[in-house]
Amino acid sequence: MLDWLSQNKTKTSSNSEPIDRSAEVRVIGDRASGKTAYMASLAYWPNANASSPVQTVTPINDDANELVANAQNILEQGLQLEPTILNGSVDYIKDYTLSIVLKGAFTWKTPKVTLQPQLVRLNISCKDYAGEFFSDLLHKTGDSLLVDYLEDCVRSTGMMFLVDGTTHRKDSEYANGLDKFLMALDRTDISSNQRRIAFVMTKCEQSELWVNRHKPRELAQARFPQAFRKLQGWEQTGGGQVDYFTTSAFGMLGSKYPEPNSTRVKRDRDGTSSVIKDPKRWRPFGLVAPIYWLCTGERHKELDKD
Amino acid sequence: MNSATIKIHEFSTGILAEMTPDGRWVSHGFVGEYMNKTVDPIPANVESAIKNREFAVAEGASRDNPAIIGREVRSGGQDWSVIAVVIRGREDKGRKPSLYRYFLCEGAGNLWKILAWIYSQPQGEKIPVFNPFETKVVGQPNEYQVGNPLVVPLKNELQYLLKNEAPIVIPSVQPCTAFIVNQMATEKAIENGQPVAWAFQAEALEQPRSFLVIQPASEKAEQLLHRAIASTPQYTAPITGEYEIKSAIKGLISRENVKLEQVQAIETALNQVQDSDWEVIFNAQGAAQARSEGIYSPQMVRLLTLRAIVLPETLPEFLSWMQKRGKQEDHYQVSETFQSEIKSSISGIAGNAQNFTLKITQGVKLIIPRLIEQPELLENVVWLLSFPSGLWKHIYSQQVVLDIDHDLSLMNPKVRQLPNLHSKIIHHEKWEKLANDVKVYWQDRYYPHQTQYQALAELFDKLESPKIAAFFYQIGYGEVPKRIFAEVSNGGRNSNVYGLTLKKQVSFPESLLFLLMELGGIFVPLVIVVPLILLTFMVGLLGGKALFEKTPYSLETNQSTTTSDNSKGDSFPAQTATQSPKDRTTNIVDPIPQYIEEEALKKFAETSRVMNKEVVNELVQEGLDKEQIISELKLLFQDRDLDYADAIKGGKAKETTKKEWINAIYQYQSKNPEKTLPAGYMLSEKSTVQELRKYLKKKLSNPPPQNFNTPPGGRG
Repeated sequence: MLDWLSQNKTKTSSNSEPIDRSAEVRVIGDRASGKTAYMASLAYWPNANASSPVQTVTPINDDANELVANAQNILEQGLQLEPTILNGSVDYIKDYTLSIVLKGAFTWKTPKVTLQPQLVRLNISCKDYAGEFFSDLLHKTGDSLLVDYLEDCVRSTGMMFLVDGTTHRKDSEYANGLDKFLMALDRTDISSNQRRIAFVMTKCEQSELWVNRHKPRELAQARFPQAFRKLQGWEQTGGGQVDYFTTSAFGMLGSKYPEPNSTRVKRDRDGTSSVIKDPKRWRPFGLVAPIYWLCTGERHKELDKD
Repeated sequence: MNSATIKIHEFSTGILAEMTPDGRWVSHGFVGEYMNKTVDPIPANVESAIKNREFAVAEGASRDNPAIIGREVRSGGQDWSVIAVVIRGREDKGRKPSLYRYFLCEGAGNLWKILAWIYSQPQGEKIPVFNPFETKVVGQPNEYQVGNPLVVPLKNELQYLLKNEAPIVIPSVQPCTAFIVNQMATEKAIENGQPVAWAFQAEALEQPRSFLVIQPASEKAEQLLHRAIASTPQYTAPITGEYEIKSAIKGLISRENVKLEQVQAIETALNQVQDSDWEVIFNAQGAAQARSEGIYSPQMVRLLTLRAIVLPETLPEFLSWMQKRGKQEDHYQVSETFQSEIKSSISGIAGNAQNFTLKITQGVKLIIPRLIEQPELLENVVWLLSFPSGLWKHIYSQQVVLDIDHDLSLMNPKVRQLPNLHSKIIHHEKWEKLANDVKVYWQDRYYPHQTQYQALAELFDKLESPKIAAFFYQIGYGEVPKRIFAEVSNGGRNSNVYGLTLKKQVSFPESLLFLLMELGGIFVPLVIVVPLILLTFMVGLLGGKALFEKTPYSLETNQSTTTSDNSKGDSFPAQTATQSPKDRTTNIVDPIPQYIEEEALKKFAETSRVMNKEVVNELVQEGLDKEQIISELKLLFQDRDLDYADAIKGGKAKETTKKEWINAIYQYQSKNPEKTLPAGYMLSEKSTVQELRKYLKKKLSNPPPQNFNTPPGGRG
């Protein structure tokens, strides 16, 4: 997977078919860490920026269509999404299938001399686990549902571990959860496949996070040092690859004097709950970057700048 | 009087609840199973309907005032009348989850009884809603003494509404009760022949089209519901077991290794779900988008492969989609792995997955004649019917190719006269047309060839069915390539298949030769012919050797010089001329490669059948002694320990027996490597069978045998 673009280098720009790349992603994180809002905002892709490398985001299956409807009917109305229900077997979980087309192959591996940059299509299916899965990891062992979920994780190509960026006081809980998760993953997986884990900090419209949005690795290390060390340790012992991302499902208002496009509903040790302040100017930040990395193993500089 | 005590069971969404100082409660998250149950397990069809979101209010839509949803769940086993009361709860994270409390009563037609109980509660106005602290005990349902059903005459406005198509949305300004909604839905259900389904005080519903009557909670809700209904094309009655089918499909497409129970779920559903419903289900998973947007993720490739299995008429569309992708080709591998996974699960299903087999067979029978209209699919049809472990390939090689061969044999006018012969495939619409169209070639051997059959010729050529390929080459090109001709003409002697005379393709040097022959008169001296043949051999290079052996002229020459040598004429001229005993010895010691052995093991049942039926029994019918035949066969196979009695048990024979026979057949076929690839198996009426029969017949009819060191051989 890592060298897919180099394999496709011979495909010249004269060929208008997009290069495509697929990934099966599992979205994991604590309750109310913003998993469904991330997915809904990504699927709906409101007020697309003409200069963004993202050309289109298309929902493919009914689950993804429902997500778009929820983005319109709930988030865009300034309301909060309901918690995702913990719904028995893994095959009952919503699996959002999206197709994301990027305008060009923005990678150093692709020759820049091409006149018409080759479109890149990312086909992803993301399973949005209920947050209870993560807390169950901490508190339950041997639960059959938990085992089911872990086996499902093993089959994925990549995982997004979402944390509400404002929950730094829960760092040790996350580290503990990650520890159990990575260990369970290792014991469940017999294929010893290399996998990628994107550590994604959400709600980065909050000012203390926003100022550091372009230094996701440093931000993760500073705010979640224990979880960071856990992941680094896992990577160094050959578990797989880890990278760090900052995102905001709601984005900011203004560019010179930016402020979060969100109205706070609740904020405490457990994190921040908000609703959208100005739906007309709703433009999420950084949502495609982790997906691109999970699909290709490379960071996309333009998407990081987004 | 209709007074009786009824049992009303109940259960609620499972949450971790905490009582707050104000006497209320908050949720700390879902527990993943139901709580406050009076029945355990929850009836499967009720749980399935819930998971299929048939009771679901749309997210964010349940209010503090409860919404009430009533449904009769009739599919799959015991009927139930079920009412869900939905409220929005409070969560520690500040969110407001929709929480459900379900009440159910055995039998259809009992919704009004549950309603009567709900509204008879002692809490005054309040109806029982979700309450995590109202603990219930399994086996202790609510009991209620029902009176007579309350039937009120409907107001004119409502009566008038009933004339509308379902789902009927009652204007929010219209005063109404849950009883009235139930009564209206019941009337509509009788009229439509559907189970009762209604929603009362609904804000928004996940599946508004699946209700007969909806009473919106507000004017805004009314607008939303109308919009939602308008955006869905028609009333969609819940599909039986839809949720299980969707889950099975989700599971099957989302992983490389399939789960047996999910394949089983599809196998069962194949019998129960209509094609139009399947299409809806596949599209819900993204099948339509994957086609229109050209999305070739492994999930979508598996989804469309599965769709092509379940809906055989979509197979051409699937193949065409597969080949449209462009330069990236990994999607073929995904489909192959998926097919082979399904194939191995099928063998684990009781009754051998008859429905799957039937659908795949339909697909094979449909896709072959489709090449007449869509020859551009050729490459992909070859892929579909030839890659090892393919689902369609399996059915093709196990059954359909034999059926085609059988039916083409029946097309022969001489055979057609015989009574009690039934076609196996021609009764299919497309095949029937094909059969009618090609009939003319038997009636008029000079009828011009038609290019529309060329794709079929190439298909069967590539699928290594030379006899059928020869037939289609003849009618599609007007001639048969030398290679194929050599394979089917039995050393050049028999130039017809299925009673149709074949014309062999002639190369340029050969045409020259023709011309010379004609110029020189009917008879040309051998001294001229032989150098010319040699010249042709040098010039032609490709197939030169075959030419030498098989051109009509060389045969004429051969025949004219060897007519007295019957034994030679009946065995293989090529082989006797070229193969030395040393060569054979080398062949014999070659061990059978494992992959060939594995393939041959799969075909052993067929090998066993044709050996018994088409070799031994056929010779017995011709008056030969069975014991002698078997003994001679073992001699020929150079292994006297071969267990014939066990071998004819086919698939049930011992593994060692199978392997011994496969090895023997392989070694035997290896003796003619220049003619064919050794395969370790034999198929009905293929060269191995024919040659064995011929050899044994000759051997046993003319004892004692002459020095006949060179047994015949051939592929399967």
